[in-house]
Amino acid sequence: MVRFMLRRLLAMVLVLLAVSVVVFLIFNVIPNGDPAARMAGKQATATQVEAIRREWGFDEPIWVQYATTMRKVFTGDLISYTNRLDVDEEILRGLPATLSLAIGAAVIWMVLGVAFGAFAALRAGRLADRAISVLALVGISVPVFWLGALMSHYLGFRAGIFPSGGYEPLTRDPLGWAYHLVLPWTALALLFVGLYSRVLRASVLDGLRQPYVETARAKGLSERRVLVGHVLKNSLIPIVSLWGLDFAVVLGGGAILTESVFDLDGVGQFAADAIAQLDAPPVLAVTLLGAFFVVLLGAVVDIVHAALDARVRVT
Amino acid sequence: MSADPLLHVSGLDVSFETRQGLVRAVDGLSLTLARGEVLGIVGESGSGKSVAMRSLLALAPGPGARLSGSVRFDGVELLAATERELGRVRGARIALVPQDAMSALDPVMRVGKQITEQIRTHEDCSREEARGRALALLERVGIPRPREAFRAYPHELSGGMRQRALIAMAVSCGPEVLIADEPTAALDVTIEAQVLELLRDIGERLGTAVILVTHDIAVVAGLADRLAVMYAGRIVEEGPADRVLSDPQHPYTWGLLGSAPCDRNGEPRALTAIPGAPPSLVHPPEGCHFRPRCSHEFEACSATPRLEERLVDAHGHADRCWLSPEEKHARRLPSERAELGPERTPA
Repeated sequence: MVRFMLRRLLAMVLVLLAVSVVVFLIFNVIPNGDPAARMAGKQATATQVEAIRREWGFDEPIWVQYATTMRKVFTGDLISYTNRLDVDEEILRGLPATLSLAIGAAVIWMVLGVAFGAFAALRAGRLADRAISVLALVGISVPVFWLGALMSHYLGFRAGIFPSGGYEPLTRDPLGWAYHLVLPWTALALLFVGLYSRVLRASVLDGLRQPYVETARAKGLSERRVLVGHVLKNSLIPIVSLWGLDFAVVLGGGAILTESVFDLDGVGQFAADAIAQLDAPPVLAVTLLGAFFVVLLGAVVDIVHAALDARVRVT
Repeated sequence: MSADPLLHVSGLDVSFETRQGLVRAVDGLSLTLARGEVLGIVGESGSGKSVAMRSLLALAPGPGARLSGSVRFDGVELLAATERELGRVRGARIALVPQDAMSALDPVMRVGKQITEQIRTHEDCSREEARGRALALLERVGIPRPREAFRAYPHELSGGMRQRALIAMAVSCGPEVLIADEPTAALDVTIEAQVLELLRDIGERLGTAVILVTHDIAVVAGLADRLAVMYAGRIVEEGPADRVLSDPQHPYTWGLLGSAPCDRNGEPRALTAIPGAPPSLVHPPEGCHFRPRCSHEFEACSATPRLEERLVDAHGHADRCWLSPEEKHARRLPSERAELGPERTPA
């Protein structure tokens, strides 16, 4: 276990290093990406641009720039090139909204995905199964920005049932927090509900064919206990792994579109704004955060997987 | 007395739909089993043995499968029983020892839990009580360290140990019928002998009737009281084990005996293969299913007699071949003369 953790820690460092280098290089080769020119504005003279370049250290060799930037990421001194705001502070400010969105949506998509998937598998080939398949396909295909915009407009703005956007901190008003998040949760979860129900359906159907299920039936267990105690227990294992990784992606800024549509002002939205302005420091920091979550939850998933299935060992 | 047999199957049909068409996996199967009796069922892969055995528990081979006919167990018609009634029979009064010990145990549940689960389903007993019983059962089936096996996951046990655990599970509620479906198929020969010995022992000690299913006629030769030979979904020959082995009647049984590598005394001998392959169960040959592979085929074979119509002797030895016993003796080729019957004492 200790060796596993050490290895994962080392892997995490390497992944973060690679991600940071790639993101940093992209911003250096991107057309129109010269930060000094962008900071100086459209009417700036060449000397003004040069002055900014020297002041911010953009004239230094690229590896020196990289080292300086990375140091600032971890000391919290990193500031945006466009609005001069402290990047780490901004991320921390957006994190509660992003966490709330990700956790809530992940719970919803897991519960609904499993429910629909198991139900479809038990009704395989019948009308209910086909209906769920079509709905799942729709859920997977509908773009979240389109669905989110429709929900926000019709259920929020027009009908006034839900707020059309914005985030309410949990600590200030728990009910308002949930109320504000119902639409974003639904919009974000829908894609995953479709995906998870398909995966679980296949996994349950496969489970039902396993000889140990027949053994369980031959033992005289009720069909419900066969399904819950044996079929589902086995079928959920791949889903749990998938869940951890998808959750990490959403946490690490994968919910950019949902956050933007519902104006949640989370980490994803922060990153989206930065990308629009080719503002390297926030993008770099958010990307690193995302990579961090993915690697971290990847390790957690492996440990959980080994706990659920004794055939798997963490090494 | 001699009332109803414990288990009486008659006219059992099992069919299911496949891409190729309707498969008749079991075709008019009839058999009876008395208390404490050991019945061997022999047949090659795909002869419908496993499907037939599962239908004795009213377990269908798939969602679209149809079971018809009659399976009467102790006066109750199982094919017409409710799930609740079946739940009280399955595992408690009729138990199954499945074929492949690796995949027949739930890979993510401890072996002990899988046994106590069955005990607690059928009997009102505490967790500790069930645990104690499971440990005793594991010890009884010859598992050296029952406590370790109890806590182990299936993959942590060897094939032989898994098969023993499955037997322990099957007998945990003191069933009246134990159906062992190729219990030794995945085992080494040495382990195979131990497991068979164990089954015989359990059958004798608990008075359990055992149905032992196998593709290897040598496996049942020493164990079974009666023997049924299955071919392409039908029983083609049935009778007291020593009669069937020493005086086989159906040409398929001749072939089956000829393909056993040793005689009853363990002496190796020349193997003879049955030419051809078993028929498709989607479009089986009309009449006798063995017809296309049989060297004695004649006109009458386009229909097939019922087992009960062709009694050979007073012991209930019967087969589904139109040839009379005399004709069989005359026609049987030297290569078909292999027997597993008791050694004839020289005069």
